[in-house]
Amino acid sequence: MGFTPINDAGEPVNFCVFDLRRGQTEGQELDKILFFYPNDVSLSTQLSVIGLSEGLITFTRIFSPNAPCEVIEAEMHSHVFYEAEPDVWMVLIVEKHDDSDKIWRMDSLREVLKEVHSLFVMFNGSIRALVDKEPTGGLVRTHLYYFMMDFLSAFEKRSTLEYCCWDFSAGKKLQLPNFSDSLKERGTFQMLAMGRESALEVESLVKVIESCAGYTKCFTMVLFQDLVVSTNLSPVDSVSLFVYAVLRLTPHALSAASSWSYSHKGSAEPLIENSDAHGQSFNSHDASSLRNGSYSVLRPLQRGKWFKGEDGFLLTDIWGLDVNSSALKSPVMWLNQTEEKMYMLAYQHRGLTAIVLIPVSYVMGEQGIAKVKQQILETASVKISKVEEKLSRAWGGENAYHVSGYRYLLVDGDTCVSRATPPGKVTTLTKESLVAMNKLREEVDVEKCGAKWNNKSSLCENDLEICLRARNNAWLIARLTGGKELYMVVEKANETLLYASEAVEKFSERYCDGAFSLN
Amino acid sequence: MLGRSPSTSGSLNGDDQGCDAEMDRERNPDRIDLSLDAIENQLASISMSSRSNGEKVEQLEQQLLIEQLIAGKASVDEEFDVERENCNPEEEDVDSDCNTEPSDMIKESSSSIKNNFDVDEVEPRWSPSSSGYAGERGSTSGGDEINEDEEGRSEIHEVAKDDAYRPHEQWLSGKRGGDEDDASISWRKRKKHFFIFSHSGKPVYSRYGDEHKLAGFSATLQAIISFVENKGDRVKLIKAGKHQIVFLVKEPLHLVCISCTGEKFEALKGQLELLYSQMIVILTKSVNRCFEKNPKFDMTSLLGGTDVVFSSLIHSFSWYFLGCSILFIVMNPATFLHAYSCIRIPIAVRQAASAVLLDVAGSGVLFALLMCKDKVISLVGAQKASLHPDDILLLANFITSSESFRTSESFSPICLPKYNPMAFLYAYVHYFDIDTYLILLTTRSDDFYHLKDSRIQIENVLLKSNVLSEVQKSLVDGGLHIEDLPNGPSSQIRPSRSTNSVGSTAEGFAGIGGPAGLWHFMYKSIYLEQYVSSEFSPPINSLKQQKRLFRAYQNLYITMHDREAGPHKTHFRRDNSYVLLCWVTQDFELYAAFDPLADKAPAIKVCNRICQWVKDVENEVFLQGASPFSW
Repeated sequence: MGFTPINDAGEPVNFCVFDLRRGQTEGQELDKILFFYPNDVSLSTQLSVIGLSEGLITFTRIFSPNAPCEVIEAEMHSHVFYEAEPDVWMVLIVEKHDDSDKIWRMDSLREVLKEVHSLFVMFNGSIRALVDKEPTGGLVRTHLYYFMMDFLSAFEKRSTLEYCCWDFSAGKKLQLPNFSDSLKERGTFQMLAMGRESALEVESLVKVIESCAGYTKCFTMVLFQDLVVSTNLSPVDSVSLFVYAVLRLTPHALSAASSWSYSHKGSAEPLIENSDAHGQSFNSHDASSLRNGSYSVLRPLQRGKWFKGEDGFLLTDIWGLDVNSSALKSPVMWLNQTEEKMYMLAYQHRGLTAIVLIPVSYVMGEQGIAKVKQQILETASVKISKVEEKLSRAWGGENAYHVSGYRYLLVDGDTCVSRATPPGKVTTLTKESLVAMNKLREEVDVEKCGAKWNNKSSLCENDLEICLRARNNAWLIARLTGGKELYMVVEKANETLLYASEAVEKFSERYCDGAFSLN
Repeated sequence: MLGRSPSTSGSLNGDDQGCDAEMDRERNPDRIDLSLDAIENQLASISMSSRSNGEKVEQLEQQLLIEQLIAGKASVDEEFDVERENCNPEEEDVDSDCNTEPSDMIKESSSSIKNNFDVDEVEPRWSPSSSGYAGERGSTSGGDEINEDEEGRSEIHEVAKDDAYRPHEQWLSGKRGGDEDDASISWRKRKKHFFIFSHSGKPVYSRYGDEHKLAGFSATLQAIISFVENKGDRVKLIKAGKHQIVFLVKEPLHLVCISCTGEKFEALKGQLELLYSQMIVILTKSVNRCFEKNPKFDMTSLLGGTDVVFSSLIHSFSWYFLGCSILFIVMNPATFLHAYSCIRIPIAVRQAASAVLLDVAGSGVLFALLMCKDKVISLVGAQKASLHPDDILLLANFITSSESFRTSESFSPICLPKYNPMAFLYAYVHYFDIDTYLILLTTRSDDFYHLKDSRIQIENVLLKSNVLSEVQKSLVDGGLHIEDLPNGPSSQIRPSRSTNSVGSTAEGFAGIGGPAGLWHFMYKSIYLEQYVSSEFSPPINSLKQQKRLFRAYQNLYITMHDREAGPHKTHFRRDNSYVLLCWVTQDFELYAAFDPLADKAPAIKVCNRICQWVKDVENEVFLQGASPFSW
């Protein structure tokens, strides 16, 4: 299949990772680049993107030494910066257009960068550590390359037609969160609301599971469908694991993966294939290492690699085979909270997925893991199926959290938990309302950021209430209080402000334990 | 003209020489260069006359101001961040008092710029007799133009003098931080920078620091613009923590604001637009032609020639001109509302003023404005001509920031960017008292005597009909006070302001401010392009609080008028500082600030009452019949 070069300037999405500590001498600038998407843009374009980024980071440090360049807004593009690790930067460049779906909120784009970085670190450790491990950069580039490409494939906008012309314009298929996602919050996880009885059942289930792991300090996350039922991980780790679970582990993810594999029978990962085909242009100085597989690359985000075993445990060959037993190796990941390396066990029964993380240092290798699995099967599986039954009986389906008349997003910043109107219901809003809400959220983002830079300890002090009657007569509402945020769109509503505040009040009383009530 | 040495004009200076020059022009009407020199001479003399006449007064004023500042150090200090980084409030403190010596130089330098420029670009429009004014002022033409070096030394001397009073009075004269550059910590910590540079990266103006030392810095800014332009795009904004870098490209000039004041991008961009327009007020857009001829044209050299002294004047001019302009930006809602405000006077008084202005407007005057500070008393335009509120703002800023206009009648070329950015008009300016002044704008450069006669005619009527005394009265106690807000249709009793400084408890709110916790409001009539705002009452006492409130209004205005999603209809916002209510209809926009604990229902009622109140007094607070369509 031939390759049609994309006009560099017209590329809708560019995404790069670079290390400012590298390539400091003239002529060595290429060394800085650790990843560039799409990889088929010319090296000179890559260098110019990184040059501008680095230039602006240096320039803005003149005035803002502690918070250099975060965003560049140009007429046609937005550049979002994220310093993932000291001197390791991620920059995402998106095209913008008022008349299409290319209306962005910078913070939500930055959340994408944060997400991919925390996922990367969860499986590979820090970028810096990989850079230091192998100073030529081959190791880190290879890891980043496969990881990022697998990650970005989740943002591909697909149509059957596009399958046949994959590599013509791979970049154009990336659909990043835009204004229509203004009632979603990345960097949070969603929880299942349960009755007291169910909550107690789940609690005792978690105790049983943890007892299976013996005396070791383990962590557990239980999910029902794509919602968290219980987690004892830190909020940050919960978010990362939740994102991974929803991408690859939950029943929904597994079934999506199997249908994906079916449609891609016989073909390798398209993005990757594409990259390999043009690997020469990707940092040519080490392209060979990328292609010849001299590094063992972990691709935990690769599609279609997880499947459910007969015993109910989820299996994958991502981590390879055990040399001794030639059995599949158990997945391993790092916890942000304890910086500990953990084995990951995932057991699934119908809609319920229980993920157990056990410190590698406490378990006797794969044998130890097998033991724990056995324990879980023996002592917890019955309870798991009971709990699953109970939860699925009470489960209201994907529209369970729909509140008629309201389109809302509720975020608890302290616990990283959010709840929102189901996506299907959000789409009933007009574009006008969503664009206006996107704007309002951007405004609130700025205020939150301002509070941060003004050394306010937390958002708790940033009590804010905004009710905006938009041009199309929709009420747009934002409420921030005590670290919690509520965003709401009420269309076809009465024009009086008091009506709007009453609507919030009612919602707050019924669904938020009065957190946003004014009294 | 660019290469004109000071001595050329110098030869025309001095009292006698000034007269000679005038005679010379009469004899040789074709000698445009001479007449231009004389104009320059004359314009310089306008400013210098104020210097010589008012020198002692100004010194006293300056001294007084310094003393006031030292006494009020605490209040100034609260506006300062560490190491004097917050500079704006300080300027705001001085707004009304800062028209001391430096403004002479503003006038002088701005006039000189005009002349420099005129000769280069707009020369043909000048008739030999255009400087009728020179004849009148010739006798007072000081020898300043002849001694540009001396002028320069005097400026340097002033800066040195200021040094002695640092830090608080450094801004009194010359640019603050004039010795700073981008390597200085203090410079980097300034809260709001403004830069103007040419598209080749040559610095034209910097709010802080020495433009020459900042050449590298403006080249960097230019490089950023070019780099993005080369990619077929145009950079608008860079964000970094609290800082925003806003770019405005007005080829061949580029303007940049670097701010950490928390103002929105749209607000900062609007300020850059105004800054650019203010430059157009002085130069007209014809300056672009210089760049067309030579892309690497050095504008500072146009402004100052090769004369080092002149460019040092530009420093003080730039700073002061901008300083005042920023004061406006911060303190004057007209900068974002795009509306002007009128002084509140009885309708009969305004009608009297309008009638006499209308009389003169018939006779070759394009616009006649009677102003008090930045507020309009009356405004009349020739048929079909309309004056944009932004032009009024910039014109008022130009005139009120230049002390020389106050001390004697002046005739000055001026450009109204929204009216016609390419051409000069001629402004006859005369102050009737310290606050009230008349501007007569004409297209004819030889209209001085005619306008002078018109002014005398106007002055007589104004005195006869007590307009000026009414204006003074209004200045003292004329505004709308929130405590005077009528109780609503059921009761017309107006509570006395003195007894109602604490909000009425009957309204369900007991706090400082007006009814229902009302602190302040602004009302803009969309059709009239005018606004009225209430006087500041407790707790909006300090300049800092006033600035914060205006910035909050400014943010609100921008949200309401969002380019993509707006204009919105109603906006309620409660944060830790205020409850803000905004209501936009086809006819008006209302912005009101309440105590953060205010309840919605009474606040809404109060907003309705405000609208009714403004309607009731609209003949006093607005200039009726000045809208563009009524002539």
